[in-house]
Amino acid sequence: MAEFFQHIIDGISVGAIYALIALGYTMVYGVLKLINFAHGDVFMVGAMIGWYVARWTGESRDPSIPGALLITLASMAVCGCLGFVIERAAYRPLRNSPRLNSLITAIGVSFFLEYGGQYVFGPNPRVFTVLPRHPGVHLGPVSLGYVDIVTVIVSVALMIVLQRIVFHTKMGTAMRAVSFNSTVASLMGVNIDRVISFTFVLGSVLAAVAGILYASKYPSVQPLMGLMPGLKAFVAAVLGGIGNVPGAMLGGLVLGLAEQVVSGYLSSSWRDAVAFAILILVLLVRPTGLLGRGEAEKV
Amino acid sequence: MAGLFGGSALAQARRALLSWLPFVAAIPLLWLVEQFLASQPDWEYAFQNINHIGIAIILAVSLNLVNGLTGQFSIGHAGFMAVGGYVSAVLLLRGPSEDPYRLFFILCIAAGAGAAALAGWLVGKPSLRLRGDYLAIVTLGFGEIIRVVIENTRLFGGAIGLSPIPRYADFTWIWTAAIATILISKRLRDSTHGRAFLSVREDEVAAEAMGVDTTGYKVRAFVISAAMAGIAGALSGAFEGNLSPQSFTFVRSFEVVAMVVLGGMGSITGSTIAAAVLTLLPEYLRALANLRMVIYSVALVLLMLLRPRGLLGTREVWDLFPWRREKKRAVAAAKAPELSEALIDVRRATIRFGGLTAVCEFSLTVKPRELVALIGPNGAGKTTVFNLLTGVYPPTEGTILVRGRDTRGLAPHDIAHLGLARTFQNIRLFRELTAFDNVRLGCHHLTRESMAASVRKGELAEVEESWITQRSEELLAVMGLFHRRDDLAKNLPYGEQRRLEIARALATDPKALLLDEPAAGTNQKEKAELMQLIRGIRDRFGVAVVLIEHDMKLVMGVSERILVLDHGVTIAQGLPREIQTNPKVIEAYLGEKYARAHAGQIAAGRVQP
Amino acid sequence: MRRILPIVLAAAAFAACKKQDQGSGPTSQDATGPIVIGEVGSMTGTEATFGLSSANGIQLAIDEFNVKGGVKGRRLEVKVLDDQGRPEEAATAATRLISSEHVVALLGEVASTRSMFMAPKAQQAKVPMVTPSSTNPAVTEKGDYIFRACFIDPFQGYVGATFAANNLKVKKVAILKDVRNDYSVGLAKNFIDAFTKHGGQIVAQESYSNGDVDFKAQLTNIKGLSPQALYVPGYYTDVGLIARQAREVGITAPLLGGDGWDSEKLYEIGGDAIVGSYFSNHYSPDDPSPRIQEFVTKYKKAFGGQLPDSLAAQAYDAAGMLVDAMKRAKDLAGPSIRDALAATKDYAGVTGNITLDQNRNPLKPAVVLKVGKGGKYEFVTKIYPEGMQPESGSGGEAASGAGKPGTEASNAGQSKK
Repeated sequence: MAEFFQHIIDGISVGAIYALIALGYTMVYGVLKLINFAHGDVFMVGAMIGWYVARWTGESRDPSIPGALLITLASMAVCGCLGFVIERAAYRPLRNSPRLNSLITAIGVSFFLEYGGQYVFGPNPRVFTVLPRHPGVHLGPVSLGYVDIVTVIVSVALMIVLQRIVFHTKMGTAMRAVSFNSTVASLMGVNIDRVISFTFVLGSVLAAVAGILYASKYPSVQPLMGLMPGLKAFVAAVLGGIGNVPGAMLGGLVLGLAEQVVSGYLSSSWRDAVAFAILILVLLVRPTGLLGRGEAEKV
Repeated sequence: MAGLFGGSALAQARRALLSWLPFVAAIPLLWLVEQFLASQPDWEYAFQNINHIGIAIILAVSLNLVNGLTGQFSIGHAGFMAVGGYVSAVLLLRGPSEDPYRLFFILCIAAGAGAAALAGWLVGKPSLRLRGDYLAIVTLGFGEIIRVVIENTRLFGGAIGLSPIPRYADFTWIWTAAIATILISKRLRDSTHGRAFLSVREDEVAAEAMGVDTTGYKVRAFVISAAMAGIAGALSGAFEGNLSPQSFTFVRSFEVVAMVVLGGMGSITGSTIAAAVLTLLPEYLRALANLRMVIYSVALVLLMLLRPRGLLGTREVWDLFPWRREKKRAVAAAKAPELSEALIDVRRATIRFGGLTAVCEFSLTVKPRELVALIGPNGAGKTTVFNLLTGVYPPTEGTILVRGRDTRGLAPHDIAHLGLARTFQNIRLFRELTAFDNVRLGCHHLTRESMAASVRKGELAEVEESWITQRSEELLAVMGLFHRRDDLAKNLPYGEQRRLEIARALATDPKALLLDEPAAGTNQKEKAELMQLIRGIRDRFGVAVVLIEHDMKLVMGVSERILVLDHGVTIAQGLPREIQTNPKVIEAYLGEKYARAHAGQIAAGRVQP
Repeated sequence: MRRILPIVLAAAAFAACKKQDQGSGPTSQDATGPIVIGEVGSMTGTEATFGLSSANGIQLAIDEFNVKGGVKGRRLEVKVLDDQGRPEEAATAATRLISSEHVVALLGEVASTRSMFMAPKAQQAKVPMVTPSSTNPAVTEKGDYIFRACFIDPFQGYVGATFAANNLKVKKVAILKDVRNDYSVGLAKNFIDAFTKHGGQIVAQESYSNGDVDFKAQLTNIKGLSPQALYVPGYYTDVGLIARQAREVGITAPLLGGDGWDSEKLYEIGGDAIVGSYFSNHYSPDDPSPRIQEFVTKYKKAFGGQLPDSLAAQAYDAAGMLVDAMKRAKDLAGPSIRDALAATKDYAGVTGNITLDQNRNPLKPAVVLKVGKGGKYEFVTKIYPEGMQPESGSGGEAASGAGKPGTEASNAGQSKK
């Protein structure tokens, strides 16, 4: 029984990280109707930058909270810029081309980041130290790592901030307008380019934080680390209803829990398969996801 | 059947043999080449490369069927290759140790292909009815799941793989398969089925409206391509002598995608060349080996930005050598008997989108050869009515009968099959296809040849292709478009595009033609011509025409009966001159105030909407 | 022009295909030029460190031999090809080296799967191949031209089990293996066989896939069964994380592993969690024996102060063994080198004295190292194959497992499989 609760705790902890990444996917899909394959790799860059800055500032030898904060901000800044550049250079020129072309480009960018990263950073995993190492908390037989607690707190805080942005600011309203109908939104005076750039930057910033948290939890960073979490976060976004912000959060949590439970009770070799099985199930039974709404194409 | 198409079974067999002769003759030729190459001692390495190219060609050309021809994005091809390879290898390892005529080997390959096809069906059927992006992720996931399954199953050797596999596959086998793949693809593409695939790529909605079962075609492309990938896997395993799950990663799938994209999505020649180039290049560029994937990805992005058509776009090497085989025998499409009952019978159809009632209690009957017009201010729901008729949406309430059949639950292509054809408000032509191909596609749903018949160029396929050509050329001529036969639809001037759309719709041999604002954007002269055209179509082809139009002169000049819609409700129905003076109609178009102010004039018939 | 372009490209591609094989290297028929040895390794991709370490070891050995005058008066040269960690690339590379570069022998690969892809090519062409680090027994079974310089999985599993039973004196062990890695799977299986023969009990068997980062689920399950030790025969990248998470979950038992642990990054990743755990290895750079220290010094000097890991040491020995055979062979034809290799007896390698058995596998001891404070490896003991006597002056102990000699003879390298 204690194991069950442990699995739940672990599931929530990893699910929160998936949720953070999923938010980026879902927001970009909302405004651009594009699956940004490269998003998982922005997450990887966030972790990598964190590693480099930690080494440079000496944080990795002597971690502290203010240091961690600084590193996270640096990482957010870099990833925000990266997201902006990717959108500008690779996606904007193709906005009026067939969807297939953008998809291929997205995959190309993703591979470029992964293998370019391997070339630049080297393929070896590096040890990641940003957060100070505190012992966790033990609630009876269940243990809660320090990193897990930080992860959940930070994730929840960020999601609350995101909700405010999306539903209570002008830019957020503009984002939602563009996701409903970009032509009409632009006719209403919304600067589509600016909104899309903002969406990318926002998503990338969240991915950077997810990268730092993930690398703190599993302290081994390497250029291909974004592949699986990226795919899983995408599944989470689809599960929650792609284009739907609360849906992404819900989807992340559900996926994290499902993974842990399957790993724990069935077999861990099937952990990765869980994500894809869920995906196929969702697409078969309810393609709009748990919280999503359908979309009609005007004929 | 044999009698109707002029030949006994013997003659049919002879036909099939002749059509496959070049291919069959090639096999001994390949064998000779192989003997020569194998005898050269230092050519081992080159030989191995050539065989790798052969496998790559099978993979790229088969993926081109899905990604290029049908426009679906699959990135899990390595998964199907793995299924075929492993199933075949497992059987081989358990088979007889002596197989001098390689009969068992052929069985194993067939089993591998079958397993891969089954996998393709299982993956494709659920996912292909969804939007394109989802298919990409599902196929990606499928590839990964297959790998996980293989690694965890002792039967498949787990992580260390299967070996030693009897090395039965060699140059002759591999290149026979490669050439067969190219030939099958070519023949499919040149057939009416090929045009169906292309129409799915170009515009699914229009394709459905023209009678193409889009989901069915997507699944078929997927399954065929998966089977071919399975064959590639089986041959690869029997060539290398071993199989390892690490050979079937996402990177492998991506490489095949790169080949298809580089070569030009849709071009068989392009895929073949790109397969060769991208197999050899890494061998040349060993110095840049660590950058290989980086170069690929940058190349892909640049390609999409600068030259999305790839090397060859959709061109083929055999387009350089066009030859037209005019068949003297031609059979006209069968004509259905005249009907006297209503073609279209709509009974109080209502459709609601969320809280908005777009169309309310709409009723309409259309008899054969009638000319009916549907008018009303913008947003009245006219196109929605068309969409209801053609099955794009089901009605929330009410019944729609087409030729006596209730269309509830039928897909648009089924309704097209019943004899309803349409054009679209925003012109939905197959832009990258020629005018000729657009019209030929209209004929597709009338054909009965199977894909197998197309591939072996059977009697039926030849005959059908011939009458399709004749019929399409005739329609183009009637529409005054024959001189545009080989021009791409997107390059036609606007007015001709509209006429082409009508020609395409007529090609489906409809009983009723729904024209959605055919005169939009045309000038006076063209409108007059259009009036004549519509009447001419009705007279010559015997179809009923239902017209949505805003130009009153056209409407009044052409229709026998007019329905007026406003906010989803039918406010008037009757003869043209009745409608002209109907005060409700005038009110709807020009507003209540105007109607009241000019009530007298209206009554006197001096105001027209 | 645009229409001709594709045809030209196609023709060029096919012509290029033929051109490739005009290899740039000299042929071995050239009796005065350098002798070319081929090497296949993963210089790029996720296992790049393995390939690079091996390449270093080989280079060091070859350079030494060249300084001493080469073989039969001729210099030695190594042609290295990268297989990017992909098995089919390893096969292609092997073919290219054999038929285009005309190498006299092949060195490689590290991973057993890739060696298995290479071996048929070497065997068919009658080119001797020596794998420095592939431990799966099936590799040398590919043919009599395939040799090995390291011990095999069955032995390493046996070593782990013997150490657990005799030195740690534990009776209940849980296994956590990497199911994607044939090496890990092989070691786990052999450990289980040997440990149960020693009378021990395997309380749990869990698995993961290499590259995974979350092992909490498996570890939580294991914890519930209270093992006295955990056998984790994976690669250091995963083992480090596993150790950490095991401690987080509350497992205090020591971890045991194999030579896949060997890397300075193990402690970097695992930290204090891995201290107090043990692993079997081919050699220890801390071994005071003069032969090993000399090697370590030379390696550090040649490669910027880096400490040689066991992959480098094994590669060094593999190259050395090969060249030694080439010296003894009557000429440089494939069959002659093969015969000389098969006759290798007591070759003085840094990973131990190498004598090849009739399956072309060496009979060598393994060392067991403990991860001490600060990540420093401490030599614990040397374990010998059944029936083999310890070398004088090396401080080891003979295997003293219980069990019938007949069945355990399989561990001494006389495998019939």
